[in-house]
Order: sequence, then C-alpha cells, then structure tokens
Amino acid sequence: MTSRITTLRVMTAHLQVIGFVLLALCAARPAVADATVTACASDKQTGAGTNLAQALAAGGVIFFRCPAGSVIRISDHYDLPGPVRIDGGGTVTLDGGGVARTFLTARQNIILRRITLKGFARIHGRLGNLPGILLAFGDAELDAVSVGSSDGPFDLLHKGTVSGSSFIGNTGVALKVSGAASITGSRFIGNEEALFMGEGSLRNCNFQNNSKGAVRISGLDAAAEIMHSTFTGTRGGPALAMASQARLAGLSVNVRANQFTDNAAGAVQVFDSVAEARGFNLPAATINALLRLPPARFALSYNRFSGNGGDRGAAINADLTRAAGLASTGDIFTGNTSTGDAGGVFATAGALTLTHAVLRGNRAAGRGAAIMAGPAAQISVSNSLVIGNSGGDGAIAGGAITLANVTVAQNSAAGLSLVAPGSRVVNSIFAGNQPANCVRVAAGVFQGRNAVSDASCPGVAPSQPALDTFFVPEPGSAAARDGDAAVCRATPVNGVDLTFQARHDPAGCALGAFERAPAAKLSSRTDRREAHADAADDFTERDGYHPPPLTTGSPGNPSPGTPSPGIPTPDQPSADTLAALRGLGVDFSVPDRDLREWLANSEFTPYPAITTVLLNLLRPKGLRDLVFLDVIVFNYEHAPGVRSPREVRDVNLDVLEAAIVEGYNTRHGTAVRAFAEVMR
Amino acid sequence: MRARSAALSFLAALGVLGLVQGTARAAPLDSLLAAIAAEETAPAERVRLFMKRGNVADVYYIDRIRPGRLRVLKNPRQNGLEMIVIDDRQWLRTASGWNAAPAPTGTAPQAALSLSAVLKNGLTGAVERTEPDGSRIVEGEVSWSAASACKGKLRVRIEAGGRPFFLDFDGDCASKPTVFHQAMSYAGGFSIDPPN
Repeated sequence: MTSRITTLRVMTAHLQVIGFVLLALCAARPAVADATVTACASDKQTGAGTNLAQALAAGGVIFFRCPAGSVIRISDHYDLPGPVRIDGGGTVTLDGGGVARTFLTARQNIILRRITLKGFARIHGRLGNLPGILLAFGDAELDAVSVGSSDGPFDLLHKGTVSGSSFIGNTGVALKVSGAASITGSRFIGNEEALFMGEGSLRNCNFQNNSKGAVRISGLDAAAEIMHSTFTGTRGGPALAMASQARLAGLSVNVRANQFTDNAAGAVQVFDSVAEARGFNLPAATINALLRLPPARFALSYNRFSGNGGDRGAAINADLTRAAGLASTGDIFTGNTSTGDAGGVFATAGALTLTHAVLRGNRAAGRGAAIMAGPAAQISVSNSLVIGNSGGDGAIAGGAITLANVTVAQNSAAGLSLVAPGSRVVNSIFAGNQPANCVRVAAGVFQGRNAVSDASCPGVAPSQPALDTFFVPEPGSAAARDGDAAVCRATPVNGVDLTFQARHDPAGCALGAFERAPAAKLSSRTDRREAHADAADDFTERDGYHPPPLTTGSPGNPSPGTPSPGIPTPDQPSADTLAALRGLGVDFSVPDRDLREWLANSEFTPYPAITTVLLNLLRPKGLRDLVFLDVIVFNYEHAPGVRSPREVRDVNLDVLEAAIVEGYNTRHGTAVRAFAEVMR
Repeated sequence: MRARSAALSFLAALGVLGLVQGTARAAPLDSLLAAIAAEETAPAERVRLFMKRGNVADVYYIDRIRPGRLRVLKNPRQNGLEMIVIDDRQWLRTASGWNAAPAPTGTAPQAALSLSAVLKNGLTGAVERTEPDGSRIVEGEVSWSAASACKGKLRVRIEAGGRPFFLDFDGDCASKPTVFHQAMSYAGGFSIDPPN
C-alpha cells in the first residue's frame, strides 16, 4: 500500500512536471490553430461564423469559406505574433478602404496565398513609412497574390519569396524586400515604383508602365540576378537601377536575357550611392559609412535594349566610380535615343567592357550616338558591331576607349570622336561613317592593322573594305585576312568573333566584328533574311518583258516606298497578299472585304505596314499553325507604349513577334513563350 | 561574264548550266545558234528572268549595254540584291549601302558555259515552226549538267528580226522541279551608271 502511495506520489509529481513543461511551452509560444473565415463582409463582422479578426488572433492556417467574389472590408491592424498562412482560395478580396494603417505586422513567418488585396494605404511617419499591407519581420511568401490600388503595400524585412503574383496600380513602392529575394513569374504593372530589393533572384517577371521606375537594387549582402524579365514603358526613372556598392566585398549583380523596351528614363542605371546621399544632403556620418562600402561588379549578358530613351545613356547609364566594373556580353542595343550624350551606353567613370555587342540605330543629341565614355571612364569594345547610329558627335565618343575587332559602319555620325588621350584601336573597320570616320583622333590611336574608308583616321591609309549585308568582309577581300592574329587570339577578342565563331587561323584573322559570315542558323534569325520571289513575280510569254519595279533602300529591309510581295497599293488588289499570308500560316477572322480595305489603306490603318514586315518575318517557313492577322494587329496595337504603325520602319519587330505568339496561344490554347516555337 | 549572253551567262553563274554530250537536229539548232549570236551583238538588252527551283522562286532583271555595262537586280519587290558592273569596276548594293570593288575576272574560259554549247550538245528532238507574225518557235528536249543535272523541255520564240524573244524551260534540276522563263527586250532607252 505504502508502495502504491509512493508510486502515485511519484507519478503525480511527474505529471505535475510534465504539466508545468506543457504550460511553459504554451506560454512561450502563442496559440496556433487553423481557422476558416465564414464571415465574409468585414474583418470584425459580428454574428454567426468566424470573422477574420478571430482567425488572425488564432493564427495558424486561415482559409475562407466565402462566395466567389467576396470582398472583406478591413477596419483594423493586426499584429501577428506567430506564423500565419492566409489562403484566400482565389475567391476573396481584402479591402483596406483607403485608410492609412499597416494591416498586418508579422513577427514570424507569413504566407499569403491566392488572395487579392486592394485599397490599403501606408502610414507616413516622421521616422519613415510603414507599409499598407504587410510589415514582415520573418520570412514572407506571396503566392498568387494580387495587389492593386494600394499605397506602399509590402515591406518584407527578411527573406521574401514571391511567385505568380500581380502588383497593379499601386502608389509608392509596390514591393520592398530587404532580405534575400526570390521573385518569379510575377507582374508589376502601372505602379509608381515596382520593386526594391537587395540580394537574391528576380526571374521571368514583367514590369510595365511603372511611372517612377521599375526595379532598384541596393544593399547587397549576397549576389543578385535579374533574368528573363521584361521591362517596358517605364517612366520617371530607370527600368533597373543598381547601386554601385555592396555591403560585402566581391559581390556581383548578373543581368541576363532580359528585354528593355520603350523605357523613357533609361533602361539600366548604375548609380553612386555616395553621390546620391550627397544630393539628398544626408549627414556626413552616413556619407562616410557609404564611402566605406566595397564595390559591386555588374555583368550584363544577352539582354536586348530597344527603343529606350533618356537624357544620357538611354540603354546603360553607368556611374562606375565606386564599382568594380561592368561587363556587357552579347547585349543588343537598337533604336535607343538620348536627348543628351550616348544613345546606347554611357559610363561616367570606371571600367566598362562591351563584347559581342550590336549597337544599331541608336541616336543621341549630344556626344556618342552609340557609346560615350566620360572623362574618367575606360570603355573597351571588342567583337562588336556599331552601325547605323545617328546624331551626336561620334558614334563612339569621349575619353579612353579601346576598340579591338569592332566594325563601325554607316553611322550618321563620325565613327570615332575623342576628347581625351588614352584610346587604342586595332583590328577594326571604319566604313562609310559621315561626315568622317574619325574626328579629333590623335596619331597613335590606330595601331596595328585597321581598315578605314577615308583618310580621316591618322596613320591609316584609306581603303574600301568590302562588306556584305551582315557587315562581314567579303571572302577574299583584304579585310577578311588583314587582321593581326595575335590580337585576335588575345583578350578581349579571345579567338572568337561576334557570333563566337572561331578565329583559328594562326596566320591572320578578319578585321572587324566578324571572322566570316555567321552560320545559317544565326543569320536566319535576323530581319535581313533573303526574301525570294513569289507568284506575283511570275509572268507569261504574253506579258513579255517589263522593266523592274522601282526600289529604294537596302536589301532585305523594305523601305516605305518599296512594294513588297503582294502589298496592296491603291491600284493593286490584295489577293496576292492574302494568298501569301495564308501560305505562311496567317488567315483572318473578319470579313474578307473589310480586310482588303484595310490592307489598301496605309494612311488610316496599320495593316499595310504590319503585313509587309509580317511577310518578311515569316518567310520562308511560316507559322506552325494558323494565326489570325486581325488578332496579330490587335495585339500589336494594344501592346503598351506602342504606336500604331503606318510605315514599315515604325513596326517594332519584338512587339510583332510577341503579338504573333499571343495570337497563337489564344487560338490554340498553348503557352508558347518564344517566337521560334511557333515557326515551322 | 561580259563576253557572253547576259541571260545565259547569268544562268551559268548560278551553276545551272553545264555541258553534256548529245545531238541536235541541224535546222532548229542553227536557228537557235543564229539567234543567240544576234542577241550577243545587240547594243542594248534587257532580260526578265523568273526561275523556280523546288519551292524557291527568284526573279532577275538583267540590263546590258555593250560594251562593258551590266546591271543585275534580284527580286526587286522583295528589295533584293543589286549589282552594277561597269568595265572593270563593280558595285554591290548591300544593307550597308553600295560596296565598290574591282570586277571579278570571270570564269576561266575553259569552264565558261554558253547557251550555244549547251544547245549544241544537249538539245534533242528539236522542232521549229513559223508563227503568223513571222516569229519562229523552236521546241525540244534539253539536258545539261554542272553543279546539278538538268533535263526538261525548252521552248524559244525567236522574233522576226532573228533575236530570241522568249525562252521557257520546264523540267528538273537535281531531281527538283525547275522552271524558268525569260523575256528579252532590245529596245534600249536606258542607261547603266555608277551608283551615287
């Protein structure tokens, strides 16, 4: 008996200890319980069911059992001490009603999923602003979240993971991530500023029409990457702004395979935080702290910059004073325009290298139609093509510039215009630049072997380099064999040409960007593929001889005055056009008569211009499956920032390809992303 | 190139024509050879040539002013290539504008191919008839080989003045269906000048 009593006492004592431990655990951690919100009108709705306030108080996983389209009005802010997951199930909208408050403060991890939020406003305080929707101290994840018409909605202070989400029409910064960011497959449209982030990854996102800038990267604690994203129609600030310094040494930002189109205040900017702080009159202590930050390195590759604007460096404007350099590889710069210097690329200071670049059709009112080096910058260009740029004092202009195996041709600006010593040109071609190939170029700049089509470059006898349609030296020409093989083998040419074809002849190599004509696969992707004749060019014996139609412009690039196959003119019916389109996989969903009228009306419809480019684009293979012409034109005209074209030269090839892909997906229920995938 | 018939020399340059052994009936062949000789002495000639091999079609406009001036325009509606040759200088219109270069010296004489040679060696079963307007039509089978073997029906209309007026071929080259026809004019009234 005594033994049993002793045993009971021991057991009781154990139970008391266990109970104490459980009690302590409960006290240490808030209650976590799943909840389903069934009160679907407001967060503090009284009556039957569970409202959102009760669910948030419980924490854990919160679901909603509400009718589709339910809008729950939010009337308070909620401090969430424990982890929370809020899953709207795709049916619920939370509406902040425009009242300035921080809806959620998450002390631990938080996940928002399949939910729409609107009408939240941030708090503007003396010491800073607090976000309108979420201030997250722990990890935060946004999955399929739609956020609109809110003010400064998110401030994620730790790790931020965002996927499949939309940020549309928000003021302030739509999303701030201070910790490691992982942002994929999301859209940022019509916000003031889209995204502030530090280290981490941004992939497959779409930034459109943000009015004060799109993405700003600063305060790196680790590397950052921006990949496979599109930046279109940004106004009021650059599409992608990056601070030139990091918090730790040796860090880099990789910007790869993105498209920057029609951004009015520049596409990519590397800014100097110190200069910015001085501009804001920040305290000396702050500026001194910034001065001690280590430099960051920037690697851009295979991006496309087209139609961007700005007052300096419309595509890239880099102040590399405190950076570890910027290297651009395989980037394409077309049709960018600066109201000041550098239609394409500008470096204020520091080292910038461009390799395997194409700079075409850029324009600057100031110096450097394509490239401009500031007085403290060193720019190296190799294996690159600089063609058809206009305006400005020099296609390539400024201070210390090194060119190796570069072709500078047909620019409506001097090929090279220098204002400072320290430049070097080797193995390069300067042809047909107007008014001259060189301006203010000192003796000794052109070294080794080069080809220059006039006598304006000191030390180089004029010669006429024979270039084909791709600006490749004609086989057998002097330019095709006169290059210095040692230069071709060495950095930065590295034994390859613009398209990475080997320069393997030990005895010599080609001058300029190309060692030989690019491979068929590559050349077929350009807009200069050879167009063949069609049935409209055939004739009979009865027809006999007729002189050729008048042509203007360059081969492969139909000029506005050049009739293209079947393109209707007032006296030419559009039957041939429709047949040619049909053969290439393009039909139409509107009445035949309407379409013929549109095709014959280049003054008031975009059809003639778009159809001309479309025919050239699709030849010879055509589309894999049919796409409606009127849908393509509709998609084109409704692309952000695009003017309805009336002339061939106004048709944006990238936009047209996207319009075709969109029309293809809409019609066939596919999810094709690349234009090449819809081609036969 | 400049020593040969504009149209046929262009075909030769394209690698279409070549020599094979064969026989031809004398009278139609003589008419054709005389017509070709007359064509080659015309002071000015304009040729419109449409060629389709497989699914690929091209049209050429070839102007010649003897001596020494030639202009070739390929697929002008598609804004294709243009070449001008004046004596020993040639210009090729490319995307970068006009490129000037010395004119190539041409194919070596032994490899040069003339329509005359093709017809002498490759025309078979030729017949000739006179049309009411005085023109004559010569038809027959022709075959040749160069870069590829070609065989098909040839039909040539010779104007009353003795020069070829229209030529038509329908057959196969390298097992691909091939047609070409060309119309000639000797009216003159045009010039061939260096590009600006």
